[in-house]
Amino acid sequence: MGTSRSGEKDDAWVAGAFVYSGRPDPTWSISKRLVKELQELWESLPASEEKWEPPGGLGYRGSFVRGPGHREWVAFNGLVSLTTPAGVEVRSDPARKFEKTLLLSAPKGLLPKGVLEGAWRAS
Amino acid sequence: MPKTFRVANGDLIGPQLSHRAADEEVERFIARNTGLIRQLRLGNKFPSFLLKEMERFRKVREKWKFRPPRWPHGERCRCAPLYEPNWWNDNGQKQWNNNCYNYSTNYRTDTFAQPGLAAGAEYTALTCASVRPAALADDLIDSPSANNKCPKEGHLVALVIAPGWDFHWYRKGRNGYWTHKPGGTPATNVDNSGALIPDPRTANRGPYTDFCTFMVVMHGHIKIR
Repeated sequence: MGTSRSGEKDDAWVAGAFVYSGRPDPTWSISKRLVKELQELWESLPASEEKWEPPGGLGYRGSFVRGPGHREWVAFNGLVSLTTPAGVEVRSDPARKFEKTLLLSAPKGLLPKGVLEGAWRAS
Repeated sequence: MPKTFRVANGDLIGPQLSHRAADEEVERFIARNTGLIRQLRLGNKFPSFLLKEMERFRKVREKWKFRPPRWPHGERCRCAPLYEPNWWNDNGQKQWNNNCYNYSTNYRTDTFAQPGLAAGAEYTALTCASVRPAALADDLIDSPSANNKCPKEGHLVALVIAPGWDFHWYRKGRNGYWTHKPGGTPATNVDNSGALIPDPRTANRGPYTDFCTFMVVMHGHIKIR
């Protein structure tokens, strides 16, 4: 969704948040340990029948993880989607555990205050 | 004169004919009991009935006078760029790599353009005081007193700030409403409440709480990167 799609190493896992309009969205590297944790979280989530609609508007619009093989998780508003070359799968995460784990891994001061609590949330 | 035409309250209307009669009494002349209407043999009461109808019609015409349509319809800002979201919203490189600054200035760079970068005068803080001069360095024209009015040349844009974190731009369209493109998301004509935007000062802007200024973009004059 942002300029951060380019310039990432092929084998690196990068997390980020869709939050800005003018500036490029913030991104940060994440460890393989956290990727494993997220993978386990993902596997524990039930499938969702809801259609994944990328949120719009000004403010926080979700968080993401991108990794090798064009894998991308996006988490927002109780849903997590996984996009791979094979397609898109959506799972339900009403407690937003995946999203919170991701956001809490951001370096301190990188994200605006209130993103996690919803104060920056787009409509 | 066409072969047939209508006479109504002194107006002559017909194929390629729309004139005011030199003698506005021509209708009465035709309709009077002793006039041409008698030749139609519609009965003795018909002329008086017709005169009453003519008078009634005259009053109707006086009440709802013809007003020429204003042209062009709906185009309040004729120099503003077209709202053509599909052009920007390709869910691909064009959409992801052009931000609110690109969209508001109607200038595609595919670089997520930053105010002042092209002029070597990029903003140093996420404040009005810092982003505004950066945009001026790109040759946007400050118009703080624009008060949501279209300029005679170029188009109007508006700068807002999420203090300390980000900037955002809107642009005024031909129909007088504002549109914007939040980051890499699709261009849209609604605010965070899903409402059309007649004025960015009063729109739901989420965390972009500081309205900075209006500016004018002169097409072809600016340079952004």
